[in-house]
Amino acid sequence: MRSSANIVIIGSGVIGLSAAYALVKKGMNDIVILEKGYLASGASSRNGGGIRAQFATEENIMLAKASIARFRRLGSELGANFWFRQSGYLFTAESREQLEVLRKAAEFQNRFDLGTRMIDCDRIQRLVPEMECDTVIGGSYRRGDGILFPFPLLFGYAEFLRDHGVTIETHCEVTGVKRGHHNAEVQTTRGPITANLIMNAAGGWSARVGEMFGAKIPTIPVRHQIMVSEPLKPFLDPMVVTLTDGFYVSQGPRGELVGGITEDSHGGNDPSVSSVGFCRKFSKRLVSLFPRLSGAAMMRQWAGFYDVSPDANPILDELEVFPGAYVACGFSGHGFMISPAAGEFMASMMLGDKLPFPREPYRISRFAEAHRPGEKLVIG
Amino acid sequence: MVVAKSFVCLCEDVTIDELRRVIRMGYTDIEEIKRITGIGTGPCQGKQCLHLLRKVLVSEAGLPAEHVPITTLRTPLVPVRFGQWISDKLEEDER
Repeated sequence: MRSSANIVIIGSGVIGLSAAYALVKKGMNDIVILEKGYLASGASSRNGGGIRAQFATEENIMLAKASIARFRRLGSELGANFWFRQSGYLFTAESREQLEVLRKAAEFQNRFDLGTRMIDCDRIQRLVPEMECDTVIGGSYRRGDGILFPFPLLFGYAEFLRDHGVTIETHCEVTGVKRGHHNAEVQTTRGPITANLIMNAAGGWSARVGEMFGAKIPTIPVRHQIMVSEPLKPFLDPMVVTLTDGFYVSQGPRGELVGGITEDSHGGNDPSVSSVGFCRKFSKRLVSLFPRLSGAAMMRQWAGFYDVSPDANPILDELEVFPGAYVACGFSGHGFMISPAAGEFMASMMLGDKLPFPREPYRISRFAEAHRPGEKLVIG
Repeated sequence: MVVAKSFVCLCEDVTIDELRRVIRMGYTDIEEIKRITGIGTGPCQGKQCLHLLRKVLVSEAGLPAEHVPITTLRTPLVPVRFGQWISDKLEEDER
């Protein structure tokens, strides 16, 4: 393995890859990405591919809006077809309180020209004719949201980066960090590597990696489960979300349904284990909303971590206790969809370039300050 | 007889040639190959193809057989209808 690099990124998930991509676009190429498992083996290769800007905080909306614009061009830049389809996200409400949450969020979103619309049941029924709308009283809809297929994007990034001189070391776990005079030494299971700049993009493991830098990162890995059905004739255009139980389902390009639901907490937290309880809870909700799917089959199911921050907004910052070390984590289940902009933000921060958004709201120090409103629209 | 277009994964139409190409690109982890090619993600859930893929990895990437794990196995082992998941019968079994 190489013994030094200008920049070392810990984690080959979509955040580390998109940051490396942005750094390459800024002329950097002396970059090594360290990955403890296989490429993108954490949440990035386990997520549902939902892409939305319907959020309740400015922090997420800014990153999401910029990211959706990037996703539209990224395929041709990388030479990778990840099937980005902007067929909308439909959030449904089943109580007046939920409808009010959506109405406030939509009002807020439209300050950023997102074009989110509140729609009634007739309109919902026209959007999703197969859905049983008995319990639904209204919803919010934004056409520009959508879905993509995560793997071609991840492997597209990896191939592009390798072609541009970036080294990706898989099965190479970081075990410690030592401070040097002008740089730092990252210790791994395959030997040490020195770096001038380091980025912690370890997702569900970022708090543990943070400890190696002497930093307290207040994020917690929380398991979420997800499933895919057998391929079905196309019938579902938007991603459908219910606020009641964090249920979501979309139909991918090959006709398969991908979806999840908030897990009951007693199921454990190990992503290599899945539960029958999830399958039952998800199926119950799916069949109540789409009775005809009773006869369709769930094909496969798996799990991964949300790296949850106290306000469900990401942490994008340099570590005060370790200058030259940066962290991008706490994406709380929506990291994939805001990754292009988060990666560019981190690349600009690391190189001292002008930042596209204010830096304050993403700082790790915010949690020590007075209470700030957190993100309410966390799904799954 | 193995020809370039021999199918290894019948559900997802993955050929031996495609596997060799991916391995040549440097992807030798069974989980990576599953995600790139879709091998093992169809209705049979890899019961035939993943074992063949392990053999291909041993012969093409020169990996010792014991270093090629199978992918994570999870419920359901076979596709199960959504209506079956919510039947009362299953609820009794769960208790």
